[in-house]
Amino acid sequence: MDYARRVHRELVGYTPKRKSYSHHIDKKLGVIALKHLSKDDPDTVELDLEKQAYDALSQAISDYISLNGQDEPFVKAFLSWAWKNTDGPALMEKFKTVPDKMKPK
Amino acid sequence: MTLKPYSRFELAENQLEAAIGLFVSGGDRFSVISLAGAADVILSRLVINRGQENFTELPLKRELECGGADETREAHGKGLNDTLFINQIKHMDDNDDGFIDMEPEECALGAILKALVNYVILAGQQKNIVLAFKAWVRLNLDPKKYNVNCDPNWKPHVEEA
Repeated sequence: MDYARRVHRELVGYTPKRKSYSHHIDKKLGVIALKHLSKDDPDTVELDLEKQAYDALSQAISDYISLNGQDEPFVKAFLSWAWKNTDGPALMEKFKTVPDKMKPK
Repeated sequence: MTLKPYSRFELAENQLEAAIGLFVSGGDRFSVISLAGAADVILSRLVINRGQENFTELPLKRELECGGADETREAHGKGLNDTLFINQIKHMDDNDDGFIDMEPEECALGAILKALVNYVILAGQQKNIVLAFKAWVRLNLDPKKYNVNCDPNWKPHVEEA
């Protein structure tokens, strides 16, 4: 979350508040739609289930790794799956072109 | 992005079905509580939107009739969710110490049953997940402790001294 806020600052020019940015990301990932429903919300919601499920897992795994490393089998399995199915080598080439100040610390 | 429309009921039904599948197969109880709790938030609202009484309102009404405190639906619902640790499992506040004292088995069962009541109000008793879970309940829960046959006159068995 803090990394995403830092990227936002570099791209847009200000650091969004953690709470509101967290809500924004949860909304983007479909997390809010899956656990909340307000009185005036429409009866249907548009989701890209495959992509949002992968992105939500990536976000959680990233925080998990910060706390507990990446040695647990389920983490290794997910990272291997992601490397193979989202073209890891091409992503890493793209990542090399990202300015240092926009990379995770 | 390949966006597709989904009904709110579908989101809740799929999460409840996943929660029940995890529960009866001995899967992770925290995930069961999280899934059933999320499903129930949606189901509760859908029941209200239909103009019917949801699971939270039924015991609230009974408590009022017995002279209990006049609580709002929201406060009573939060109390129920806190009892089942639904909120604690999906939220963590700045001052939390990182530990929760709870009984995952009972809370997971309670979270499913709470959501299932609202699901039945919306979809009826004859849906596969309802029939399957009720069959599991009859086969696996202690009939002295739980109303496994959904008898309206049932009372818990009390051991004599």
